[in-house]
Amino acid sequence: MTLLKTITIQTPESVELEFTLAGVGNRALALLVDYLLIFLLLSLVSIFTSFLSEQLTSILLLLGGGAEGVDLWLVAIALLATAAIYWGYFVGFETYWQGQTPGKRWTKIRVINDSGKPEGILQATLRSLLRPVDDILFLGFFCILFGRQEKRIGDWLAGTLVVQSETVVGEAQVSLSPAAQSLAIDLMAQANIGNLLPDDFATLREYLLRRKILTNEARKTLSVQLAQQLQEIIELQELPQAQMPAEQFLEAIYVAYQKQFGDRRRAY
Amino acid sequence: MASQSSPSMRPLNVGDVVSAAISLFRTNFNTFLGLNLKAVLWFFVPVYGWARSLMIQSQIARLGFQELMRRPETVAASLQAVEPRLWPFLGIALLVWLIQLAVGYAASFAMGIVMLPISIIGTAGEAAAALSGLLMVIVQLVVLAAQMWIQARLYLWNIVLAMEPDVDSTTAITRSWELTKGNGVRVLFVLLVAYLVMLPLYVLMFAIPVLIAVPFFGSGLLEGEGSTAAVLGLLFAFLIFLLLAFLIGVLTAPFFQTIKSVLYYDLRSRREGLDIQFRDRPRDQRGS
Repeated sequence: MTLLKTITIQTPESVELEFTLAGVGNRALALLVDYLLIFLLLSLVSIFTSFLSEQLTSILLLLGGGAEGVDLWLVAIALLATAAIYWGYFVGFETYWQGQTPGKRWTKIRVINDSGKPEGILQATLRSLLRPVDDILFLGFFCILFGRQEKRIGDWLAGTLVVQSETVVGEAQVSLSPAAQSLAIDLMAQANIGNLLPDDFATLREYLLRRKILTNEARKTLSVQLAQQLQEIIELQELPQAQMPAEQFLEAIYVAYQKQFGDRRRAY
Repeated sequence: MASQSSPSMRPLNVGDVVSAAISLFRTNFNTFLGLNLKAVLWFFVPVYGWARSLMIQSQIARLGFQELMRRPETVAASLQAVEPRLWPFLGIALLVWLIQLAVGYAASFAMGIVMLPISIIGTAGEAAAALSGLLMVIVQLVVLAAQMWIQARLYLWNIVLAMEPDVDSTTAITRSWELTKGNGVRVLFVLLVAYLVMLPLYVLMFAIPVLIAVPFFGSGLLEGEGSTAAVLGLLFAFLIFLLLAFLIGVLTAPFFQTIKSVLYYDLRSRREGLDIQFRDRPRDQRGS
């Protein structure tokens, strides 16, 4: 069972791209954030308008002219500003940030073209114009929930998809103890580091990156378990030191693998 | 392809937890809904039925988690696993409820102490009254947030009880506390998004009775106060509301259990590295 739906897009060059769809949860959260921001902006506009209306009326009265038309003008301007903010927000951000609004950026999702290209201004406009339609009776919500490609009406018309934006995994730094470096050299001589597959290395790296947020107990058991499995995989007869903390051993293997293969055998 | 070859999932973000819970519920819709109906019916039997009802709901959470772990269980097998704990489910539920009650009382007591000087400030003048009003709202929000946070930290007790037979029943509470440590706000956000996603159903629950009541109410107003038509109309609308609330409750309860399955899985990945495992591989793939 796959929990999050994926979609494969074939580009004109016959390259297959796989994306994970954004999912209804992420989209709901993104929409909540965006609507909150829009609400804040609109309240600012309404505060400013009422302030302006009061001031303008008193100024006009002071000047001796009539003030009847002013309020109507201000209402018209405020309405225009409201529409501009509501639609401009989505069109502007999605065009400028290549398919992301602040809410989407926070939830790490992105709008793309059906062909996998970034979203264009026309598509952003279409999506944005149809947003009120999708909001009526939660039409868009049900379309996302029950559709195979999770498209709301705006997405169908504009030919867009909402997908998860890939996060860069390789950037995070693993912190290593100094002892691991020298131990790695011993390991490279004594064991078959080449038995490690990129997948194994990825798992090892995952552990080393996330060990700090594990509970103490889990950290202890998991490091020992991983170390024992690794010792078997790399066919190491006996440990270089009799008493060695499991984590140090793991770090050393991590360093050894990197020394031996560098960037040639990356898992990502 | 990639989705098939990766049995482990990385820790999920907030929205993904909800999406995953929905798809988990949808793939097991009939089973989970059937179980939940049983739980609802049991609830009408005092004491024993309550324990049984809580147990069956936790069974849904367990089934969901087992499926996430790719070792799906039959309903009968999971029942066998949770049944020995029938009474602890009721006992711990009571305990959790008492803890929350105590926290609620403590919070309102603390709030009273803080509020007193603030309300005294408020008598000093118009500006001070506005300030004290604002401060009171802030204090109330803080207390509410604290209570919700406690609730989030204790949220997983029932799935712990259903999943970990070796754990002493009272430690289920501490286990939930431990697992959600540093993730209380995340759990709250998950619940927020869960309610957000269920919002259309809740809107329906209020909108339909109102739509039914309005015409009766309008004609009632024309005929004068206390007309029988208006009263009957309102009563009818209220009955519809109760029926809808019941139906929607039955429909959404399994969803909140699958939320627990996914949260439990996610938090165990985060806190215990559940997903950090070397993959099984064929021997001949070894070497370069």
